[in-house]
Amino acid sequence: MLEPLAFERLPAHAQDLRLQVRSFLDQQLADLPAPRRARSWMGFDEHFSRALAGRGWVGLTLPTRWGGAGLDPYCRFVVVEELLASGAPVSAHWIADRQSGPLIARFGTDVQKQFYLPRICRAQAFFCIGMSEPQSGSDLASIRARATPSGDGWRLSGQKIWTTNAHRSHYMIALVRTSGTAEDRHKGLSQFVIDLKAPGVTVRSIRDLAGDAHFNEVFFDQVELDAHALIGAEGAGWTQVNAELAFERSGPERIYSSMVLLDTWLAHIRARPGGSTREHTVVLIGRILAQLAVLRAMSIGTTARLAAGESPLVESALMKDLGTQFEQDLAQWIADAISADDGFIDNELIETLAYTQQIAPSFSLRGGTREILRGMIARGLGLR
Amino acid sequence: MRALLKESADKRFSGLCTTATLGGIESGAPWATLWAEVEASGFADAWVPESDAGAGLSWYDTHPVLLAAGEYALPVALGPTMLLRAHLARAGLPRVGGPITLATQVQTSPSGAVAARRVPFGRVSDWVALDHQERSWLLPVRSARIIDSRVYASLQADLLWNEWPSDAIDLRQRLPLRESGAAIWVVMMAGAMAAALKRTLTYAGERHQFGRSIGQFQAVQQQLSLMAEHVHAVAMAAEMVCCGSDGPINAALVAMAKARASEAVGVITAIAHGVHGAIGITQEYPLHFLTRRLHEWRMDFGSETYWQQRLGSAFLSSPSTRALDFVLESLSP
Repeated sequence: MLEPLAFERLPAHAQDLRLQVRSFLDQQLADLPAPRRARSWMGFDEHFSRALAGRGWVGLTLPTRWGGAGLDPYCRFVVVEELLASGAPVSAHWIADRQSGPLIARFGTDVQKQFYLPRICRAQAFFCIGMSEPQSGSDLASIRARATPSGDGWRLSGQKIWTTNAHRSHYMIALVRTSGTAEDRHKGLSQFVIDLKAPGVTVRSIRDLAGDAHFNEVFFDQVELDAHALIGAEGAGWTQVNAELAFERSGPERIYSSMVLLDTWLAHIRARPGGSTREHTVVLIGRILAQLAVLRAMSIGTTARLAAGESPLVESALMKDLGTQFEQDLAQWIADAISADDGFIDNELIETLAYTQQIAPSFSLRGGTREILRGMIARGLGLR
Repeated sequence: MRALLKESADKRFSGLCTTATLGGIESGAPWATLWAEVEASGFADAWVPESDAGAGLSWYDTHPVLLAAGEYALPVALGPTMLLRAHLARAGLPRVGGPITLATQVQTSPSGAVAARRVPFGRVSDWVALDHQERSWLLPVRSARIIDSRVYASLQADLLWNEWPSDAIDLRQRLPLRESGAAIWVVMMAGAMAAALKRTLTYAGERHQFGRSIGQFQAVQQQLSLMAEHVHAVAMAAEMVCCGSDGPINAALVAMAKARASEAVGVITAIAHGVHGAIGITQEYPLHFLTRRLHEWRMDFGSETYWQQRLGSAFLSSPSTRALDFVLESLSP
């Protein structure tokens, strides 16, 4: 049976980073209003990403010979935790730092590492991930985009959708079919790096319900890829993607998506004249803090497994489902609490709340839907 | 040390806590033999310093023992006995025999009459620790009137003394009985929840309907996954409270853990019973030993709302402006 995660303390060397990151963020974010900060890892600001890279905090875990900081996952946990809790606009370098960099470092050739990793660490190469297609959402093995051998390289045709930041990234790492058909399921899938400026690539933005344009449709029409575009082994795409997903699912971003809303609400409570707080509100604060503390410990526990070189897929799924439920509940609970009486509510809080409420359904969609994750947990429990 | 103690507690408690023994004690059979076996294990003196003939172990070391007490639904107050025996030794007071429980809902009158209400394990203890006039005391249950709660199979009781018992033991200081009780209960709850999950998973694999095991149906899998998520969250809360309990009790950490554990009881017991169907609500099938305790333990020493309120107040009177700062400061053992 699935064993519970062990409780782990963050090592001192990781804790030491916290104050440095925080004072950097205090300077950088002083003028950014709460509704902007609430976007957090959907907030795109390449100047911010470059400033962060200037401090050595992008590509933190990548080897120093490729331009990284060579630090362990605990250090990354602390940096990411501070970035998200502050609502820093980290979207530009986010995918490269979290997934694409580690993927290339693990499965890439030296030529690929030498080209991409230093650029990632300088925040000069932003990445997006091409997984979903119009007919392939949760059922990823059914993807149809296909690369066929062409000269020394490959020729790619097909379509991706819901690709976050495709319109402002330099590269996409896409999962596409290189052999077989949809009936072969996860066999015959491979990962490629695609230069989004290449001829034959068309990117079309899709506006979301909160007025933002972060995700896209991407079309590939006979796009020529050279031999260096293939990441890892041909046909091993599915295995590689799964290794990547443990990184994608277990991090603090699965707890902190509503943190700016939470802290804005807490500031609103503290600022109330007279200082008296409804008992229901006090209870709710306690409920939130209790859940938050446990989720954070679970996230550190998962990080420890990653640091030990494991790929804790089931634990990550469990952690993500619980964490995203918490992020979604926060928006509902706070909406109820601030409207339980007629006191004046600052517009910044209302705007932050409304944004979080509207975007909250995406928390349990991106990175694997709730239903898919629970299926993975059931497998981990030995039920399938 | 942990692995060793886990193995030893599993072996000891699985042998002791059979369906027949648990059912017997819950319906009023004598418990002295069972307690003698628990004493023989040495667990009750685990936290007593070695210089006082104890094992000198820490909370951290003995975590598996308290987990196992919950997992096997041990029908005596082992955790509180460990706590009070260690306190007696450290205070230079003589050791007492027999199991000790904790009472926090206590009324005392100037004449010396004492009423301790809804005392957990009140039916199966020799001593009870409670507060009186700014200090904590051990009162002997043998001189109390034991009023059974009349709740079917419950081990709780009201304990009444018409006058202050002459052989009450002065513990010479006010102990954080409620916080310590809540901390111990969180670990027992984590154990009982893990056992309920294990039992429910086994049942879902064995029970067949529509030509396959019910665990193969997606609707059931989704429920069991949700149950597992909460069981794992409470396991983490229990680890956290355990890692923070050697030394002075950390009230914020206890509040966090008891709030989280109590909050999870509803969903965990509902799914355990839902998956079991009718067999789960029979006397014959041993799920009720776990779920009955979980319902009681959720309320003992304060339910989730009680502890959430304390935690929320602690935040509001702290200098932290951000939730994360408070978590780093007060909820990271």
